[in-house]
Amino acid sequence: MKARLAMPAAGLNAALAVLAVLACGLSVALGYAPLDLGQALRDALAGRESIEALVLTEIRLPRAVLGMLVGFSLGLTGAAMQGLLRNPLAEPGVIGISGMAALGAVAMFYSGLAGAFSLALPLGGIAGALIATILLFALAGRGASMTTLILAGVAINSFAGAMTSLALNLSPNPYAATEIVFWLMGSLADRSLDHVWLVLPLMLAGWGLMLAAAPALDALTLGEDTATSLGFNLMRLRAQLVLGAALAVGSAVAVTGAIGFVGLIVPHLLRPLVGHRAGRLLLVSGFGGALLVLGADSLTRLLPVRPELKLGVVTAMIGAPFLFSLIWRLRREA
Amino acid sequence: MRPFLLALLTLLAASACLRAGNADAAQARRIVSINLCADELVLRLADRQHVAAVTWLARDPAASTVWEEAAQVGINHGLAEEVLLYRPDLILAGQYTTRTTVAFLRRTGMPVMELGVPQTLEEVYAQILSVATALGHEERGEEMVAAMEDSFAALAPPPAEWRPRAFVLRPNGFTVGPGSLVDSLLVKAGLTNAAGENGLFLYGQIPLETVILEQADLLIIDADARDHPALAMEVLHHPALQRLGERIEILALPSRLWTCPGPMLVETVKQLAEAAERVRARRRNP
Amino acid sequence: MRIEARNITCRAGRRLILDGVDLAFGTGEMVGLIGPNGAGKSTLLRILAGLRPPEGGTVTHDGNRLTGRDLARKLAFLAQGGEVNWALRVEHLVALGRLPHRRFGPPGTDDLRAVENALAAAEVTELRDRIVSTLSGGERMRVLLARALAVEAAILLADEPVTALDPYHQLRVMELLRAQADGGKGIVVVLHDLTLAHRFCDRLVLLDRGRIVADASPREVLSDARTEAAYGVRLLRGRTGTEEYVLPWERVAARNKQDPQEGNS
Repeated sequence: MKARLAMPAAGLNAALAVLAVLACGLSVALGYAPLDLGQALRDALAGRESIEALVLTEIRLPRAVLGMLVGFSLGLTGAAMQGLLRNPLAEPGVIGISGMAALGAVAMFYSGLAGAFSLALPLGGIAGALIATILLFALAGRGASMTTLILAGVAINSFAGAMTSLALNLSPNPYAATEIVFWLMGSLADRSLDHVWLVLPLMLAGWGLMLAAAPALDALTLGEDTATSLGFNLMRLRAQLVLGAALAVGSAVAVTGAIGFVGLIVPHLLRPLVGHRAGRLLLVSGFGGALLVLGADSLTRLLPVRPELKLGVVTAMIGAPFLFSLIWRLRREA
Repeated sequence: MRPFLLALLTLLAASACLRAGNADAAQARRIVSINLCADELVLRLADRQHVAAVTWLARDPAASTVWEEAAQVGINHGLAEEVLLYRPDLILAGQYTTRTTVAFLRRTGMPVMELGVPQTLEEVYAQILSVATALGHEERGEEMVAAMEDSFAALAPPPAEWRPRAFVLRPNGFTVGPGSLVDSLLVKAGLTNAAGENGLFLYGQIPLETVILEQADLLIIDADARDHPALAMEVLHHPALQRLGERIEILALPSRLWTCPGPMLVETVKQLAEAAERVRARRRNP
Repeated sequence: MRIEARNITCRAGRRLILDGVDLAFGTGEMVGLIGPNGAGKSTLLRILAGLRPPEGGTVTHDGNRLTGRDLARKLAFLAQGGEVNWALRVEHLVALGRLPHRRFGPPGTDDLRAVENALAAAEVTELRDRIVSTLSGGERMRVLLARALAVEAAILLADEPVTALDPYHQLRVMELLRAQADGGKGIVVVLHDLTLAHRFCDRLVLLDRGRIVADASPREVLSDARTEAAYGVRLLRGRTGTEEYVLPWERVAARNKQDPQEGNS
């Protein structure tokens, strides 16, 4: 009995981490053209600029690594938001961060800056996420309740959605709308290591902020008063999680577009495995998210559909049935 | 799937000609076009005073080659209400665009001519002729076709030695596979359409790794390189492409040059052929 | 450990909820906080627990003002309503009481011991593997009490812990709280049941419209004059063996609408 109480989720975390790394390997091995991986690896390590090494290091590796980073961010943020709002339907976009990140990228695109320098699009997305964060603090700052936070999120989301549609509507180029709609569906195709280096520090900071909130989220299981009585400052917790989500999800959306369902479904699936403990759920959801995104991205390349399906479409196709079965089960239990 | 589609298109194109034939024996006097490609032909083939309106897209220098002419006539946004106000005696529409408007106009008994999407230069010529006939200026259509044929003939024939392999990356909504107009133009310019070669990627995005591993010689980006933002340009920033550097030639071709049938196709083939020649030149003296 | 509240005032908008409340209590006693609905009991308890700052006045803990984790180690709070959001196992829930002591890493031996003791003290050891959502209301309250006890704080503040329970569990929870006070803890408990308050508490504090109208032994506080003024209720008084009991029996005419201070003087 005592041993079980003491048992951390280390085993589960390790298993999911190993699976995520394997999925990363699978992602590197998958591609559209046959690639001699051994040759590519030897060339890359020897510093030879062969075609194989180029494809491995500049195209497949960034794709796999970004898949891992973005998946981890989405899973972790989903778990953090569900824990903060104590609502299993919360997801990373619930406070408006992803909507504003998408708007930021779209704005960059229409201002023509996207063509001017290479990382304009993700930088615009990150700027959008930051603006959302500032708005959130202004709207739901000191002493406001969780409901205010959700309402602020809804307001920001609708605003960002409307502005994005407006941008599409006013688009000078009849084809731009199509392009941006496809971009918004989310994809990891043809991203580069530059993208990885841009988002890595932001995501790491965001992960750190959210993972550090684990004990507070555990305490929040018992409601806000009890959490406060256990020595947690809820205002600081909210700020910490909003900022963490902005850094992680903002940069994820900025490089890959919106990939839905991951942050919703992963914490759901893993929650029973950590005994429904909100704090323990964070890290495992990160690994679970990485696994799901890498798997879905591999699927986009395995499915005989060309051009490849958008990642957001595939995660939704995987996620929606899961959610339906979940609702079905809940209904039966009720 | 593809042969079926082609058959369908041909059928539709034929029926379009037929309908146009019935539409008007005499000259149309109040012409409205609600399709960008139709705009191009109407503004080139009809008398200016007989063109009531074209689409607002026709005034955009990025999307249209007749934007100067379009500025002198009215514009519409493909809405039935706008079209009716002009009391047109001929409406030109696209086969795949503004479907509800076309359906409405047909119900009200308006003379609508629908233009298909030509897949070959022969279909392009046929469409030009049928539109010219419907406008009551058959001779202008014949002139245009003859001029295009002459221009193509005047282009230096592609050397038989070696056809560089070209990929069309991120096209804006048109097909690049074998049997498509783009494919015909590439072949005419002395290039091999690498996307069509392996039967994959008939349209849409071609992954960068395919481009690199298949050792493409020429990358064609479907975008206006200068002032119109397009995500298609994003790929040019990819480090993998930059590291390939001299090994690959890149041509940014605005979609206005090869989306619609018309004389601008000559310019397209010219640019493609020049790019092909650059590739060959580099191959000869690396 | 002694907690002293001085001249506490608290407002909700324009309405004065607490108006110059002075209250002091310490370990080893069980204080019942009573009063009609809207008197300010829960607000006072939340201020004492450091959950909300008062608009005026001070709360000191052994002469200092403790906050955050320092306070959390010395003072446990049992919230009203018994909110539990996720389907936790009982022992995991009880272990949350150790968060003021250890936030990261696996629980240490002192944590495990504290959880065992708390499970035993609240008599829920046999429920330890159950999921909280499957418990009855009474079991759930005992489990939440075990969580509060696992903090091993000197003071326990409980907001209406027996209000929704059946008579068996009302008695059982009151007995558990009494045992804790006898064991040396300081207990402040908000109660609506005057019979239980009279029977189990060492001392009662009667709040009415934001002011303390009485603070003394249960017998003194629950005089006819005070209960009629504050509650508008007359008590039935009886005796079983050596013990007196009271029972809210009938309504009297409208409640005292005058300044409650008068009834106290």
